[in-house]
Amino acid sequence: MELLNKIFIKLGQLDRRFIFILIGLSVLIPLLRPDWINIPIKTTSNSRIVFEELNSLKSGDKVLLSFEYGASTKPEIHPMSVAVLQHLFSKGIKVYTVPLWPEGLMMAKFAIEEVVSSNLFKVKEHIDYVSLPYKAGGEIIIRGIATDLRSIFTQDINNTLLSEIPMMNGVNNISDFDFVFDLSAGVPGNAEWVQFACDEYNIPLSSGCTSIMVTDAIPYVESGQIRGILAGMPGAAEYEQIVFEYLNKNRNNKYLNEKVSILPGKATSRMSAQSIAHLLMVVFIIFGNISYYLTRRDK
Amino acid sequence: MKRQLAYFLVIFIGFLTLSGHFINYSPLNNFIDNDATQWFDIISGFAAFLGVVNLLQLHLNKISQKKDNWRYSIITLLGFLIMIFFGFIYNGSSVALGPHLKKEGSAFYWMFQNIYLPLGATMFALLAFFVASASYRAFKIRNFEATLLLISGVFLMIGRVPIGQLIPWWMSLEIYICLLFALIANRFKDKKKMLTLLTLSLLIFPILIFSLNLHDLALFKIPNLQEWIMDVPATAGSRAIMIGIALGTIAQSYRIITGREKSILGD
Amino acid sequence: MTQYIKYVLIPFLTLLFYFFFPFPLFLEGNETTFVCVIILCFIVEYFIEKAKNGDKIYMRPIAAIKAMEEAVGRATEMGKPVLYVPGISSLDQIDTISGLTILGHVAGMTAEYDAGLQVPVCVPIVMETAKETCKEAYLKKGRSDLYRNDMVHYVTDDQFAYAAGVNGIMLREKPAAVFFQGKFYAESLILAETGNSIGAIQIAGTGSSSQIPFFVTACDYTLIGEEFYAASAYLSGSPEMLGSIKGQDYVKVGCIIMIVFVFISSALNGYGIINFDVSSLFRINIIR
Repeated sequence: MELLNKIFIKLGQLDRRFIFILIGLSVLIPLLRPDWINIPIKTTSNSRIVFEELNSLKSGDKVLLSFEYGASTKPEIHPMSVAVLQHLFSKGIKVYTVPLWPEGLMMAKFAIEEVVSSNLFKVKEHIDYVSLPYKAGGEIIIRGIATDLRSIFTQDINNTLLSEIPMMNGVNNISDFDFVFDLSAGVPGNAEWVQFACDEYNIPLSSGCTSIMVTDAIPYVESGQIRGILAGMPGAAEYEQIVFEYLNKNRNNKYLNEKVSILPGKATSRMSAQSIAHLLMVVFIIFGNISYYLTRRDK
Repeated sequence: MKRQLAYFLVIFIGFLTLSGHFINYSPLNNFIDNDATQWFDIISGFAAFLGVVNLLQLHLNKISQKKDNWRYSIITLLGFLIMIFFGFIYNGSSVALGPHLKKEGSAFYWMFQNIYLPLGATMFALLAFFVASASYRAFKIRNFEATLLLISGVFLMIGRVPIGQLIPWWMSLEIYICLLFALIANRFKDKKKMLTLLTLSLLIFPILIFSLNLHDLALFKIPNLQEWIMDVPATAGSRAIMIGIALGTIAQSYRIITGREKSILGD
Repeated sequence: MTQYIKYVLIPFLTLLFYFFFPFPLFLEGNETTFVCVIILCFIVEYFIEKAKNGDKIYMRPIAAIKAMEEAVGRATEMGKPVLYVPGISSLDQIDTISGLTILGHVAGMTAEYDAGLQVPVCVPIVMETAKETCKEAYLKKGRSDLYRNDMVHYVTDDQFAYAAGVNGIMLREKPAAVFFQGKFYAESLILAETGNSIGAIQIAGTGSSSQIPFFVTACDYTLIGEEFYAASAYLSGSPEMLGSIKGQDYVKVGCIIMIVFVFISSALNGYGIINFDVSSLFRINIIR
């Protein structure tokens, strides 16, 4: 018993470098060997709301996709961008991307390229999607999009004049969009879209954000100002799963190439790593508490 | 005089911006929405040069005076110069300088993809390690509040990931019982009595719940409980902090635009 | 009588003017905001005036603010520098401005105690403002000889590169006191845990509600939300600044009453007892 106590006390006083190694391994092994651990993903109500909101849009509707994340948060948010784009393209919805972070421009480019190069969707630039360039100003740009988009943007990222792009006809401000979807990892982000544009002009807004940001965004979700939220990697995995099932169900959809196979997204395979890491942390907490109890009792 | 002018500018621009939100006068609205914000962007843009000058000055000084750890400054300066070179001088692709930044095949694009992206992701990924060590240290059953924090923390951690769905109802029940005892542990003077009671509860309650056919309740599904914690107590707390922050912001802004808060100008 | 005119009649007349002015002088759609701004400003102003006239104001002791001077003193005793991190946002965020106002006080303390101060910044325009703040604080304490131009220095604009830079400074120079005061995002825990690992006394303050738990876990003291905005007023100790905090508290009481009122009336509306939904006055784009 004495020995067991000592072991628990030692475990509780574990050097943080050991914790780091164990966490590293718990993430690395499932990532390298995803087939070892396969846990089914259950969707939460917020992810389902996002899907239902986007799914209620009709072919030809216009969706503004705002990119506010960068290299550091790419692993968490990029799978959402890809899944949302897949969903929108599969319904023939017109997509307008706008980056509000300098790196957002590259992220939007990567996401579009990934979806277009899969050849799963019959989409063409300037007909089905257009990429607007980055402009500095954050909230000011949101405000500008809300009031007069043309005063801020005159051309797209390929320097094509907006007046020469067919799908830009009649798009002058936020009211000309049917939906705004925000992919955000900080400021400006979903809260700014609520405050400076969507609430005032009554345009529905949904968002995907990092897990850390969820507590900031959840009051807006609960009040309905943000319609559902994709929260971090689990949110991305859930949305990937819903879209994967949707695409398989609508295989004969006229917007999809029948010859190309539908592949599951990246976030789904990363969820095992996150599951094991979370479980390990809970184990650490239990050990920490046993050790804490034993040392306090000895004193 | 210089100081008085600064105060005057703060007060004048402050009130002008506030009035621009309510008064329907297009030159004023235009100034607030466009001109003033563009001025801020222009000043920030020029300040970027000051930042660069400061960075160069600081690190060149460190190197020339061989201050402590001066070798790191060489790496900083090298990184800075390399990015300048590939951003402004060397292209490496068929497109013109400028658009080459986002053109696959250019040297800058390659560096963005293969150096900047992995480094950024690595720094963010460090959070996982720090969260582990911080939660290991912080989640201790010190008192009632700390125990509540621990309980919700554990439920959120398990409930947020797919592994939470695999936890059967009886195990959730056992976790609840353990946590309940963690909360009331201090009330027991005789620890042996507590242990017996805990063991009995762990054995009896699952049988009781099963026989009453209550095991299908949402309460025993950890992901559902996690969603409830996020939607109700977390939202309530978040809203309370949000309202406090909003009021604090308004009072702080009022102090600044009425010229009472002067410490930003060093007073 | 003068007070009655100033704090009741003037706001009342302003509101009358706003709502009944016959020409379209005011923008539509901002009515609720205008009423709130007027009421709030006059309440805060009333308490500022009261404080100026000598009314005693009780301030709840805030441990983090009290600990600031102790932290600087500790750094002085240990012969180690004080590290002040003003967040990663620009001056368009009120948190950054609050962080800089607190920097003014901390710089005053380091000047007084002759402790080293390091302020690595993420945004160049913040660097310029922080430089002025520190310079003036040192000048005001009569210690301009101690002020060094490289005290406030630019690191980088990138969030995580900045976190790496500040972590590097912490690990190399081992400051005895670390202040995190400003707007922080995901880098908060990376910074605070590193500070914790070097054994520095850490005092954080932020309005980013999602980062508060991280600071609470890893720092010795944390200014939560509105405490952070009140810190500068608290540190200055001037009656008119403290009066504004009391005014703010009264507004908060008003908010609580409003919340209870809206809750009850919404419940009554929900059960069909009354036919008017009060919450519709405050909310615009709602699906449920």
